[in-house]
Amino acid sequence: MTRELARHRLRQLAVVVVATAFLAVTAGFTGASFSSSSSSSGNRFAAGTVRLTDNDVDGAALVLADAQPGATDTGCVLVTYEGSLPSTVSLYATVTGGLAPYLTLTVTRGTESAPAFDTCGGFTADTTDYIGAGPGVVYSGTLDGYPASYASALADPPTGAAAWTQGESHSYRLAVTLANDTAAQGQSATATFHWEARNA
Amino acid sequence: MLRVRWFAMGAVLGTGLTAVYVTVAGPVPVRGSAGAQVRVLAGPTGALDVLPAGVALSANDLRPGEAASGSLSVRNQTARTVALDVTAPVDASELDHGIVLTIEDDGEDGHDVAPLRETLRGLQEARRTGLVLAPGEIKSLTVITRLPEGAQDYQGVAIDVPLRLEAVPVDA
Repeated sequence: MTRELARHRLRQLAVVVVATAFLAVTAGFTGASFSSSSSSSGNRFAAGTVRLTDNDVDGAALVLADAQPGATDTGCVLVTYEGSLPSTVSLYATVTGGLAPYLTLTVTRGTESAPAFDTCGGFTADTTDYIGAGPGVVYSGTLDGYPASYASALADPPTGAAAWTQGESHSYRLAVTLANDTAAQGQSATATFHWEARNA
Repeated sequence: MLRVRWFAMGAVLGTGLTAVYVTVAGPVPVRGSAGAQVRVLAGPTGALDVLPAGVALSANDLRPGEAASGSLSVRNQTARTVALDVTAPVDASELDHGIVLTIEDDGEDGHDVAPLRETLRGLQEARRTGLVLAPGEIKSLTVITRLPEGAQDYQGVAIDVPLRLEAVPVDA
């Protein structure tokens, strides 16, 4: 074999090495283009929520014990809407006992700068006079006259009711006063106040 | 005959070189793959004020071994001492076990405490954090989300994790 022939063989060898390597590598890449897939994953379904909470953790906002005529107590409840679906809120109460007709109740809607059940810390009433009884007042009457069910509940607020949205909060100042009426002697009453949210 | 032998040698060498290259270089990295997008959301409850309300943490390109953190403060608005329970009611099947959520109490002494470290799956049920708040007390918390090394199926996943905080009275 002459030197020129050997050089020629080496050149041929180099060409075949490079060509084979090129073919092997590109086959790996181009092979991927011959596969195809399609999927539709990650489909999810979730219902919205309606959730209303307050800050009483089962504590009582109002307490009158061994009360005399004119005795009064005031407490505030902060109510917060946590649901994802905008909802309207209604107010009513479950009331029992013979003292209820002799208790005057005023419910005022507003905000608290430093809410801490049931202290009414920094309470500011809404500026709107909803029922003609003063700014923010949504109910003024006897305890036994307060709506007793959702069907007869107060809309919140009574005029221009709007749906609550997630994170919305309102404070309610509840004030109760015992009337000067001898018929109230020895009587007692209990009340559970309800705020109920429902979406349309 | 000699030409065929040279061709065969070239093919064998070429294949060998390719095998060596592939072995040394390893798999070709996937280009354009996105990390997970994770947002942790928290809002006030009647018993607990949460600031800021809304997005407590946002990670746009979270990859295995990486973590992201955010801050929020919680205030006890009740008249009782309460423990803090946390739930994250989210269905993120791809990442139920892949994401670990940590809630740390920033602490007054500067030393962070880690009262809760749980996967999303674990947070489907309420978990007690170990945080206790007196009436009116405010605690600053750090929320951390971590995608552990070796996490799978995270690419392109975008989830919102609603953090539901609940106050549980612990005083008598």
